[in-house]
Amino acid sequence: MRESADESSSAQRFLVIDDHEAVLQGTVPALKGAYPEAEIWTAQDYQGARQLIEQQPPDLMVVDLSIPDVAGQKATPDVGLKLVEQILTGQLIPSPWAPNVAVLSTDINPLIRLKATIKAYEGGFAAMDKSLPLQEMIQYINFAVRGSVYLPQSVKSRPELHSKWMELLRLRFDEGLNDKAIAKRMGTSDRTIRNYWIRIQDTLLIGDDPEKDLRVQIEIEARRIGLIN
Amino acid sequence: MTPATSQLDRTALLQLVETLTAQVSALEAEKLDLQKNFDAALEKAVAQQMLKQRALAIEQTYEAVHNGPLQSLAVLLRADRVPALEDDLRSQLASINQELRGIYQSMRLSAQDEALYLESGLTLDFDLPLVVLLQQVFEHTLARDFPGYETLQFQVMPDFSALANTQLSVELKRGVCLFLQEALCNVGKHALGTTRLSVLCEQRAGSYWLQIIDNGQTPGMIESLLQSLTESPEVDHQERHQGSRQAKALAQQLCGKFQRRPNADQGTICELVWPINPPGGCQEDSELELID
Repeated sequence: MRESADESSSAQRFLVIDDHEAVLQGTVPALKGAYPEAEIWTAQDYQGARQLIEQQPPDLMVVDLSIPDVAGQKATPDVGLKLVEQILTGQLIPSPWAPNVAVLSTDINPLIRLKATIKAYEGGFAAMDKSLPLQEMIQYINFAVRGSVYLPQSVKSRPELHSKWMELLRLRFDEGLNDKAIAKRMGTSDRTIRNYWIRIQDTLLIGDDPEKDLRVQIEIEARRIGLIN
Repeated sequence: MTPATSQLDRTALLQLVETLTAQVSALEAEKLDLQKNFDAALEKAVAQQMLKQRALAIEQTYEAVHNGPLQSLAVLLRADRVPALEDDLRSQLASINQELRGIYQSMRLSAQDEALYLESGLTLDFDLPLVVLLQQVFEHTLARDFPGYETLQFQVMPDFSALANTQLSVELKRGVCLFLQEALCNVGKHALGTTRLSVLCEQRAGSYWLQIIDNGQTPGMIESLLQSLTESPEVDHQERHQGSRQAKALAQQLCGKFQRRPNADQGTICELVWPINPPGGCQEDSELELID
């Protein structure tokens, strides 16, 4: 048994859920191209997805919001939203397994209700419009696989942080705790803390520079804009 | 039978006839009333049925558009390897994509009176949960051009999930949304130099708490005076006063409290607190403490 979704040594397992054959035919080969080692499973409805998840939890789920409960029924966004919410809140797959999730839909607005849960979720997350070119879709899925969070934002918005990320910054830079101690204090997993760091880095637009210490860069930027005093 | 008794009987009969006639006409009036009520009720039921059917038709249209053309368009738009899909065609398809969504949105909103049009173009759909509506108000308002937002270099996303189980009427949902908008606008308009803005939402001690906290400069007396010389203070003051009055009225309807007070270091705390299980007959109890 693997410890958690992003620490696998064996082949990664992807689950793609969409009730449109034509969409699956685009998404699946694109994923195969980007992740040749991954084992890709597909489901076309909620019940089918659930069965596969219970059989063996996936490392990445690519979900369309508008799916039917069972094949033959009408597809509605509520069904996919329910599935995503159950994953995010650990109802379908109990912790410590928290798969990375990518939502692909013609309308991702219903996700706004889960925004706070998404940003605090242990696994990575990306939401995108289904009509994006496949290349871009893969880029955003890479975000989720990396443990980061990608949600489309309006052009003018400033960096937006979750209160849990703020707590992490405070415990690290005001109290000097290490990641292990922070995870314990915040009552969460090591992986969650690692992913929070990645999310803070991405939100503050700090690139990877081999000559610089990432945490120090985050601290400098956080103090500069007043995230910590 | 003597003539006298016959006379008596006649009078009694006449009286009886009179009473009966009166009763009959009363009954007729009542019947007419009932008929009217029945007609009105029927009309209302028919109207409701029609509204329901209309809403259903709109939902079905959405699903049809969503599961049909939008899906096909998505497949076309994402196929970046198909050479036939020139940029021109792609942008046309993308605009069809937008148009189809637009149709649904406008149909849906015209079908309900409960939509709220916020300043600068956001329409709130009160069928949505309060958590979603408040999130929309927050993001939309923070994107506006206000002097108080110019110094904000980041924002901390509020978590409204504490309000997920509230059962508020459309009117109260609208009130809470307006309260948040008003409080955020006040920060934008008055709290100059704000670097930290927190919107806190929680359940504590049997109540819901919604707080908007900034660390901007609260205009002191001299600043207010200077401001009043350069701006139109009358209008501004009235606006703020109106905002406080609305918040006060909302707090009363929720059986809660509204308060605006200075923050410990600098800035202002704007706060709405209301009980999760409101007691009966609480309308008069709401204690209010206002700065302006």
